[in-house]
Amino acid sequence: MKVKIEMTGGLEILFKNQKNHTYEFKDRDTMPLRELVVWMRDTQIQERPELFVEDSTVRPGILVLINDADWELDGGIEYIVEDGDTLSFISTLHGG
Amino acid sequence: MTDNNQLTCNTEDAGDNLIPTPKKAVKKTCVRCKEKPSIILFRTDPMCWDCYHEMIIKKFKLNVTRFRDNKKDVERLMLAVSGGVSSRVMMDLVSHFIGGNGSKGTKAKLFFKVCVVHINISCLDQVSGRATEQDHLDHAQRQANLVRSLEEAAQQYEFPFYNIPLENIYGCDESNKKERQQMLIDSFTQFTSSTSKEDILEHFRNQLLFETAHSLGFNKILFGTSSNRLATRLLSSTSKGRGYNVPNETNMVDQHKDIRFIQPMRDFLLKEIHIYHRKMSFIDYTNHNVLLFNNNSKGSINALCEKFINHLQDISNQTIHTLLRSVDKLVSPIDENSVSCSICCANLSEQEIKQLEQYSLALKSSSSSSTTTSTSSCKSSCNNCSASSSCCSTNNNNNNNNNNNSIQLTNNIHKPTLCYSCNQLLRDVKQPPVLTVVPSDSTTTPTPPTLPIYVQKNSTVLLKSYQLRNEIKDFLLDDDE
Repeated sequence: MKVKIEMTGGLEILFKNQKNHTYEFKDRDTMPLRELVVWMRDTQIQERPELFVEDSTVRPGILVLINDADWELDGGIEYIVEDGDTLSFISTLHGG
Repeated sequence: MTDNNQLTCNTEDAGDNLIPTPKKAVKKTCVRCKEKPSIILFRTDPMCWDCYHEMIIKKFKLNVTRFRDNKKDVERLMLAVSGGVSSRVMMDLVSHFIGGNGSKGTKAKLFFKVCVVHINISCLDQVSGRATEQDHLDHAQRQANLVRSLEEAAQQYEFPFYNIPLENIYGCDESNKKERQQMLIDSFTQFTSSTSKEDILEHFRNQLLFETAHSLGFNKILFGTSSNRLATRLLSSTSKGRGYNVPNETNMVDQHKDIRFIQPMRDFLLKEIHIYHRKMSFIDYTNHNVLLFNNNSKGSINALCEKFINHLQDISNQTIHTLLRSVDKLVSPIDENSVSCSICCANLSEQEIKQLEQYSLALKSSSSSSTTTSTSSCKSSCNNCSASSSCCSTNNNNNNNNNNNSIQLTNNIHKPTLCYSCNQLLRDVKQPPVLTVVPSDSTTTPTPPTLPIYVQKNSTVLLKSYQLRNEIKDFLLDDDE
């Protein structure tokens, strides 16, 4: 499966200052969002991972959109990510 | 740990972590049109973009127009725009409801005069503690892009745009711009904590907006503060000793003398605003205002409160609305006799007003006993007048006309003319400014300038009005008489 990830609102600083990322998992067709988020924290962030993940979920204050729709419509962190999904993480902290 | 242990009461876990209720997937069709796929969970209702867009404009319009005094008069609205997501969305919503940008209702445009004001805080970059030169350059570039994009947006909506530098709080004479910038930087570096720096920035910005609205002839200032920020302000203001003024600071409208500060985005969560921003494809120039002075979430009371609110909201998504509905029930301390703090313009409490009255009486009795000597000495040298009473204030008022001179006399502020929170704020200064607490004839040495002239001016005017009130109080008639 292949997923597109977009980081905005200052979060991109944690991810090598890049807004758009594509991750490919050859041995998986689906993946729980919680697992994906923890995988991103462990492998993609070099410093201060607590700014992205807290208690195995996305840190409160970070808005998540799944295919441009509110993640609460899809069950939040319990969502099962599928091939071709686009996930947007938008930090709403300290700004606006 | 065995299964048996798990079943028993575990005191270690109790109360430490509140677990968010698991979120269930909601049906995907819009509850309004029942056709299109939903993109947002608004409160508990899934809604599609068209229905959501229509609803948010209606709500916003209601929030702005409910404070119109006379529908036949032209409404003069000044939009305070920081460049963040909320204020950018507010610009768009104003344009939509008054009929700009090619939308319906162009007649409404005749009844609204709108301008956009941005307070430019770029000169504070030097006190931000950024690590490298590249960081400074990046920030400067982002600030320049932000101002350009705001200007373009304002042009697109046909609103006049004003970019006001924060150093104008010390006057707007172009010849001493560098000097004013340095004074601003000095005043911020004198505060030790990030909380104080954030607060004084907020007070200066509000004052500058107030002065700009006055000079441009606008009587209402619209802020893009979201419900998340207002709920955070509710907690942070309470913890900083501003509880008395919390209803004013967090309600939809706050009266600052003859100008109203309105929060028309008070009903909208940041989530809703960000989704609007994204759907309209606005450029994101995230403005890390709070991060200006600290780089972690525990760096200030404001950041801590924000974190706390976000956690509560994550546990129950009704938290913010419940908090703001509760604050609606508090009575705003506004009446004809209200007295404002010289720095933040918050209303002083009854106890603080009593202290101010006692202070003005004490000042009067002390100055009358030494009128002859103090008047003659003040004429020769203002430094000899420690109480900075009426004779000093006269000198200072004359100095207000000359900007360069006025800057030199900014620190003789009468403590009782400040609210509790601002008194605490000034205690956080490395070299505290002179606060006149007890009138005396002792000599004080002048301190370096820290606070802008408006603080001293407010302080002097307030004290003078109380002295005058005391002098004529025996001749005043009650309403009943």
